[in-house]
Amino acid sequence: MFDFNFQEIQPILKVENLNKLFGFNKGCQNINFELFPGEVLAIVGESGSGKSTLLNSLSGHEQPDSGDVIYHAKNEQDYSLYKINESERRLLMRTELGFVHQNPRDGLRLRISAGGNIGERLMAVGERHYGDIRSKGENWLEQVEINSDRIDEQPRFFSGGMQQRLQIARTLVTHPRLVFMDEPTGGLDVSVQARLLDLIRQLVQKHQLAVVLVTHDLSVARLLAHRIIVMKQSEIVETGLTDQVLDDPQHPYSQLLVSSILN
Amino acid sequence: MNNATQLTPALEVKNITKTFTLHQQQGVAYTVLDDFSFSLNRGECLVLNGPSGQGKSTALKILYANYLPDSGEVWFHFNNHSVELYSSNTHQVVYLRENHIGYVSQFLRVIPRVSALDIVAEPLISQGFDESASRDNAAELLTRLNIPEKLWSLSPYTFSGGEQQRINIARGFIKPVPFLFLDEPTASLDEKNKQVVLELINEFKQNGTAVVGIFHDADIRQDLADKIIDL
Repeated sequence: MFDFNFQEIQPILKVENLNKLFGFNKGCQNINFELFPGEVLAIVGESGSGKSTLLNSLSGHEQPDSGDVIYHAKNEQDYSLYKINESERRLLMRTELGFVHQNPRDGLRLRISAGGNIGERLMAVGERHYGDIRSKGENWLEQVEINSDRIDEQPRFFSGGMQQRLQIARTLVTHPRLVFMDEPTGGLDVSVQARLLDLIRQLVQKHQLAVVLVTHDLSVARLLAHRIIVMKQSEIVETGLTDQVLDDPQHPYSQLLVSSILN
Repeated sequence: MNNATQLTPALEVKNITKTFTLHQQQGVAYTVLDDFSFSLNRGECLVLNGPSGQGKSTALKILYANYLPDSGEVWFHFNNHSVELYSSNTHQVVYLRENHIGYVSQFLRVIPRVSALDIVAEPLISQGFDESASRDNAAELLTRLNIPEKLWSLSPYTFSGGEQQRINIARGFIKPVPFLFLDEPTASLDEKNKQVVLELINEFKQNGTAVVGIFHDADIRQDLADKIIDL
């Protein structure tokens, strides 16, 4: 216990001078940070501060105006997400990256079965054996606390919380190393939120995921994230360890955010 | 342990200054710590002493990177390496906390749906220890701290203040660490449980842990302190 055996590792994501603006201070600009394997980073800030634009640019969905997003892949190669060609990027997004939308309708097909939703991602990465796909589907339903005998039901008949859990199963089944989440508990009842947050916390730990999470709810950040980025009007105004930023915020805007929480 | 490591202190705090600036309240600024320094050897306990509002908790929180100082250094010395808290990246600080520091805050932060036993076992499990062995250790500690077994599987949401604090203590003491920071761990405990906490702290000291603590009770301070700093 008196030895310090920290291994310096490569960041899984490097963001360099990223800019994506839709108008004056609308979007995100001058964004620089690194994310490490197994690290959970929360991006917080009010609506319109550029959180979602940033997330879309980081995850390969929104070409930035300038700057670089460099992903360090499983094969130890670096890929600049917007300099590689479209098909390479799509392949990375299917295999190593995952995205959980705020609204499960954006991440699911509501009229195909729950099992089909999970299986589709597996088939997209080349799995063909029906029995394997089905048993992985059942296993993942159980992991997100959905009874596996509901595998043939269509998610349009599921509650919002169940749909969100199914979307998480669909995202994680291909074992991504880096997952982006946009307000994953956004539209849910408070009681359902708590359950989902605890589930996400467990899955992130169990599968050692790196996560970039957008939320306007500081208690979500407190529970899930190692580190926080505070955004205001398209720029990062403060960043640091989650508990440090929430307990001892430095920037006037962070102080305003933290002092606005009702206890 | 070789001779060189015996001569090096375990923990060195150099010239810490901390000012709080309240931007939402007319930018009022007040300085809580000014040129705060100490050094501490393995197996020693430093007690931070003084009336409330003098910066005892602030000093402790700065050792854990929970509060950010304006200036100064916090050095953690190991056999093979030294780490300065405020020139390390957050990734390294998280590693330091998870693997080498025990921290008992004044209040337990309850996580929805997680049982008392799992809250206590988590620091071991997240370091990769076997889950059932970790739960056995947690159960042993909860028994020592007189938490009835029927409560172990429940979320501490509904526990009394003293019970929650003992869960918090058990979580802080579950893994052997070279550094242990305690913020009034005995504040809401009865005499019997205070003695258990005292025993636990002494066991850690004997194993070479450097302890920094704030203690409400004069007799506990007396019992544990190798050094006292009055703030």
